[in-house]
Amino acid sequence: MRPARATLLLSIALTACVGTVSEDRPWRDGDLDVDTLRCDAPGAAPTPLRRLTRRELAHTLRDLLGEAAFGELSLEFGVFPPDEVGAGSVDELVPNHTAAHVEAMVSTGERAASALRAHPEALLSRGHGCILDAAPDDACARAFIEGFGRRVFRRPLSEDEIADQLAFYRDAPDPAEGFTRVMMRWLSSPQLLFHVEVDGDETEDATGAPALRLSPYAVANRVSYMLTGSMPDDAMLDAAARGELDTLEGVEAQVRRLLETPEARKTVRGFFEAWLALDETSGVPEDPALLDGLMAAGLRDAMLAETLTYVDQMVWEEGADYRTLMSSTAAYPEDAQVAGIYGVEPWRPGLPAPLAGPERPGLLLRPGVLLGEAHSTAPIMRGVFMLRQVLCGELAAPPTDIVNSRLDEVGELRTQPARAQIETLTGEQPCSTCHSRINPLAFALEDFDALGRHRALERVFVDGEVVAEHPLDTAVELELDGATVSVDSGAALAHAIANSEVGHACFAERVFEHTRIRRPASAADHCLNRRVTRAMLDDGASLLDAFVVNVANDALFTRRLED
Amino acid sequence: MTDRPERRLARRAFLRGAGGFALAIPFLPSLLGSRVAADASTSRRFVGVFSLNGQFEANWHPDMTGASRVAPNTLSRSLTDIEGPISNVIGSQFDGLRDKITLLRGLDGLTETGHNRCFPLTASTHTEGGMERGSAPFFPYSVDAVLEHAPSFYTTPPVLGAMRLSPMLRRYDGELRAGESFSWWTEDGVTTRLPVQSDAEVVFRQVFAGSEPSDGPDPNARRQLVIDRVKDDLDRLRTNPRLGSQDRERLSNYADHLRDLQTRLSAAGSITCTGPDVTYVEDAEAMYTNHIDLLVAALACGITRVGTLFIKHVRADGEEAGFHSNSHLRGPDAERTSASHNAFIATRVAELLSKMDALVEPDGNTLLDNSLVLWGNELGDGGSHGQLDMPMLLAGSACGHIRTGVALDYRSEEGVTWTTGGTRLGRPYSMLLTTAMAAMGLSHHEWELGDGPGFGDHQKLGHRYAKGGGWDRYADAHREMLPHLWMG
Repeated sequence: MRPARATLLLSIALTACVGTVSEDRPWRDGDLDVDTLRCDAPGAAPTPLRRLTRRELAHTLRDLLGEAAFGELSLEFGVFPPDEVGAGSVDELVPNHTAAHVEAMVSTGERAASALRAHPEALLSRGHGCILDAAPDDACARAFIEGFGRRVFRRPLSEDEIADQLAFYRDAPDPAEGFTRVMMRWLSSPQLLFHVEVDGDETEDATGAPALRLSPYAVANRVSYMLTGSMPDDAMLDAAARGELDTLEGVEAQVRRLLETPEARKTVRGFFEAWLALDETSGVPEDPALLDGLMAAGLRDAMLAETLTYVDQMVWEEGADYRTLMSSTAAYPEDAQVAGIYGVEPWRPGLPAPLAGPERPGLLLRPGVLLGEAHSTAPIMRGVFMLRQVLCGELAAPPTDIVNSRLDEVGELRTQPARAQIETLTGEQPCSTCHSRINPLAFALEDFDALGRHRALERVFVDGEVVAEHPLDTAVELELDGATVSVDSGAALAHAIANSEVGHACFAERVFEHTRIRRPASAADHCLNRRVTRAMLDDGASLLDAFVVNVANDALFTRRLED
Repeated sequence: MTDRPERRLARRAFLRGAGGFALAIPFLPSLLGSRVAADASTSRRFVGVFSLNGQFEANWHPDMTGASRVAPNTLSRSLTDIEGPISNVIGSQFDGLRDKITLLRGLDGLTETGHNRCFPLTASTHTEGGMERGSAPFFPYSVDAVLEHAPSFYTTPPVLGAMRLSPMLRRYDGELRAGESFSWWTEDGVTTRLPVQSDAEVVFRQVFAGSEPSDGPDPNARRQLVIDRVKDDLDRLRTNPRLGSQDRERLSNYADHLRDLQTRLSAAGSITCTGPDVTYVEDAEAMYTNHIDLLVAALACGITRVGTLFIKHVRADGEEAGFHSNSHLRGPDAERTSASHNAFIATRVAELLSKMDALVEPDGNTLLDNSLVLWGNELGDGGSHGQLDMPMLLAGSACGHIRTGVALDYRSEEGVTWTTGGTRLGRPYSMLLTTAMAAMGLSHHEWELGDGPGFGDHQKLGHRYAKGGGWDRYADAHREMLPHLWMG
């Protein structure tokens, strides 16, 4: 058995010694050139056809059929496979349908017909209740196909499509069977299951490439799915019909309207949960030596709740911008233990937020974000998180044999300070290629322990017992925006990131990814992110404004056509 | 616990495949004693069971005192010779199964570190590094999917190519977390992580539960008719010149699945069975029992011949109990904690094996005898978070092709250590998967799906095996079986 290397292993086993830097995003390497942020003629972005994600489809079915009818589909729709989360291409995050997807939608469509009979509110509210009669007349059938079909297709049906659907309905032996068949066909139709963008006027983009000026309904779809993860509501479809989505002003009005809805708030909150990887946060071990007076039960949940409350307050109540989000000392701990970690009294909703000390500014120094792995601060994981998630650096994982080789070479280190251990392990090539970027971020945060408490001394645990205490060394130099920056604490690092261009740019990119469920892939995508970045940096755009600009912009109206 | 009421589904439900056909042959011991109906399938089955975060070697491996050298670099010890529990994890739950299981030691992957959750069934790592569990494997085919698609394995279309189960668990915030998949398949250049089914009740309803025959329209005929029209809709859309070639490929993929479903709807009508007794509760043990019953039932009555099951430790209050942090630690406390977590998982595995062993098939073998069950993990030793010395338990002999009742240690006797001072290397992990596929009757022509000979990263990383130190003997072992395990 290898010697115990707990603290080292937490770090070295999970991170990278070989890295790459994206060449098309020069700011990622700290070489930000303001000129690269100008996009005079980016052209239209190619947007690959993709299916609706599970979340999008569930929201769409709920809005299409009504809450009660959708509730009847839990068994059938329940087998629709979940999607991946994180950053990736369309193929990685929303891969093609599988047999399980297809089977789920066939049985869901079948069940939807009976669910609508039991809960016909979605039909009644739009005047289509007659379709459930024993013998609906032709006008009723056409109105149902035309009206309900507009919501299924998320655009008006053409006359040919109406005729085709009506004929299919009438071919059934009786109206009830016709209704079932139409619902089954609609719920398995490509128009419902894919984001189809083929309607509009063909044109050329700024580079002279063939492009499509999207129809207002396609624009409505883009806006709605980005902000609510669901189909356009009636107000949006009606705005499209009135031509109000032909202009940026009209779109922005709809965007701001949607941002007031609960679903859009969930989307924004979901962005922060994903960005901070809160789902991956570890539990708090029941160890009195580590807890040092705290109770493990419920502590992690309370920390995560405070983090999300902070986000909600910054976005919706304070109208904060990125700098404020990343540097405010406001704290929102409703839990007494978490309040104790901040050194403040518990906060109650509706009251002003207490202020933590200057050592703890911003989102990244929340206890819920800093939570380590068991007794360890997991410093390299913190550094990797900062580099990947906050600064959009790209890293690869190190080969096992190199990791094990280094572990064997360095021998027993576990009573040394974490910084010394990591510098010994990663200071040489090839490890230092990436760790020269990871480690400074990790070391600066070492003035917070594994439970996110501010500290002056590092306690070293071995097998759950404190075996050494060391003074901290959090002074580092790191590259930000192409310059070398010196910081000596987590707070200094937080402020440096809060004021950096790369921090703003990465935030814009992460918002892009979350709302579109894909990484930026074209010059037009990167250009859009640069515009959002500039809006935040130069124009004082709030976090909410960043979401607005991310959605409501010129790129919204076009799609690049394949040559 | 939530206030969700316990729901019990119909005990004698009709089996229903995707087509909703009513079926009739009972198969469970509770309904028919221990003998399965004569026309139930007796073909070989494959089941992959997975858990997370590796094993402490002191917890997992048995004492090999008195082991015999049965082949070069291969030690063997009979499990029935071991007094007391086989190991801290393989405890008394397996006492009645000792002659039906095999423990393996010394199977290695020279991978990049990290939770390569694709590894157990692909012998490959994720393309975006070990931490990115979502990115595709370098070798994007898992054994279960290979079997599912192999013409020699399924000579007629199955109701389900594979039943992949991973219970939905409750997270810290009360939300349900969908199950995870370890399975991958690539077709037409598109790699897909194959979905799992997470809700026992849903699976039951889909596969086993049914409704009384009605006088209404034939649901199968209706589905065929509707799917025909959806395919027409797809054909029209695919011809739209404003779509790109990749867009059209995505629509074609969807159309292909619709066609496959139509084929399976036609095939499914000939299978008969009744479903197990499924109780839906938010109780961890009952939840896993439901999934195990469903899987055993599906295997026993020919609904599928391939299954996977992902097991996590779930606390008594229903919340999943992560023990990732502990896997990084060392020392007696960490070992004990890991053993208790894994004992929960081991008990579920033993339950699966015992139920498979209770079903006697027409050839006189039990369902377990006619199967190969592989319990694996995405990590070897949790501390290094790599894929060295993967802890593997096999069960069933796959109709006599796999040796059981022994612990086999493949670590080199020559002190081959690669670059790791603490790990004595053995043989490429991919040899286990090639052995498994041979046990299922596949030739290498059916599983060499990549760019060259071999399976998994053995293709890509052959140069690492050939790096010297004695392990180079395996650099070209692309199609070799594990000695003494493979019975021919």
